[in-house]
Amino acid sequence: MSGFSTFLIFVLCFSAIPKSTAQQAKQEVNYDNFRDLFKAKVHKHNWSHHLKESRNELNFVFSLLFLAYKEVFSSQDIDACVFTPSCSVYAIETIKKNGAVLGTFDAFDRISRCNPGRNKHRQIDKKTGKFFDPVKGINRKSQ
Amino acid sequence: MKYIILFSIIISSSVFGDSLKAQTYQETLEFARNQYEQHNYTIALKTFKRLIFFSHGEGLLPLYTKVGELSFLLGDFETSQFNYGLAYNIADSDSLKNELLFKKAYSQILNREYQYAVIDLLAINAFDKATKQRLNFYLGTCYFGLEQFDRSKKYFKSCVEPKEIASVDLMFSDKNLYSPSPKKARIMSMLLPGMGQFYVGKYKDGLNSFFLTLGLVAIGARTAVNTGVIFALVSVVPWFQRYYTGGYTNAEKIALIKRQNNRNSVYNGIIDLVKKNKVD
Repeated sequence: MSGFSTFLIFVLCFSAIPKSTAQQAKQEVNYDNFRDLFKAKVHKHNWSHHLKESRNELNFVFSLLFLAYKEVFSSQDIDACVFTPSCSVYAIETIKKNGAVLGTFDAFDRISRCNPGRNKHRQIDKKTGKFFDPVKGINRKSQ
Repeated sequence: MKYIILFSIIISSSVFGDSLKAQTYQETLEFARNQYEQHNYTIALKTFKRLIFFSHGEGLLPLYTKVGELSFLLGDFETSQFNYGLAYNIADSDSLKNELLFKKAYSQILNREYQYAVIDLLAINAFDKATKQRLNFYLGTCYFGLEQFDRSKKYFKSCVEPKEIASVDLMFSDKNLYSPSPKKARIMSMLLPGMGQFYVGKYKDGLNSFFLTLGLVAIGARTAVNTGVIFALVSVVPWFQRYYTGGYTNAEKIALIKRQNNRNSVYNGIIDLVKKNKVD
């Protein structure tokens, strides 16, 4: 083997090794991935679907009252309800599910239970840290 | 009977033994890579973890890196940081070590562990201009997250050309970083319900809070005159307390959100500047 070819192999070997490592390591920096990193996370509910999903006029009126309550009163209130879903959401859902009369009774029953003392047996919702109490269908025959 | 079963097992294994063989390491690696390419990250992650277990300490660097990357993609930032850390310990070149530390720090930043990210970033050996710029940007981001804005500004200034330094100074003004003040909004709403909301620019909320509290005061006064002070205290004051407290708590919350979004705008502006001055 001539001296030149030995030199060539030597140079090729040394130029190849760092290149492979560098190629592995070098990555394009995308600064746009950092965009909105410090944006405040606000979770705002949109309750207007209750109005759209109304099945009859009575449901529509209750949904309207619910929306008015949420907009005017609830938005200014402290987070006092011990349940999830909250009493107002529970009320509109139970009225939709069980009808205006039974639903209203169920909603008042729920409001009367809305205190920390009586719910120790209930499952706690991990996300909100509140007592989990979803709407149940009321069996009319057994009433 | 047991001898017959034993005999049939021996015979069948000797006859079909060649066709029944476990997946090899290479086949598993290929499978994991395919799953990764098909975006089946959960299966890919599981397979890469299995590969680490059976690797006997060989070829661990790409495996740890992949586990870190997959955990990151699945939102498990703690596992991601841990695996990038393991990969960093066995990486042989400086550039690779730097890249792994950057990835680990990015994971920590997204997990809001800015202090830990700073510790890792300070171990980076920035030997070229591009790495220095990237490092300064990452450090600036960490200090921005820690609300140490003077330090953050210093690092962001190092990322841009000298002519752009004035723009960074302008962005880091007190008005952009500290306004509106949540404390001020709270006190204003305590003094007059709704005033804090007006201060942060939420006029509808301000009027709502003002009239709601005013209404409750009016009902309370009327009840006190008509039925007695004790009755008014029992029936109206709890409601008043709820909406009055809710009013100033909301004002503070809104101010906090607004201030955070203002800071986010400053940060986005910095990103634009750094992108404009990017060193390749």
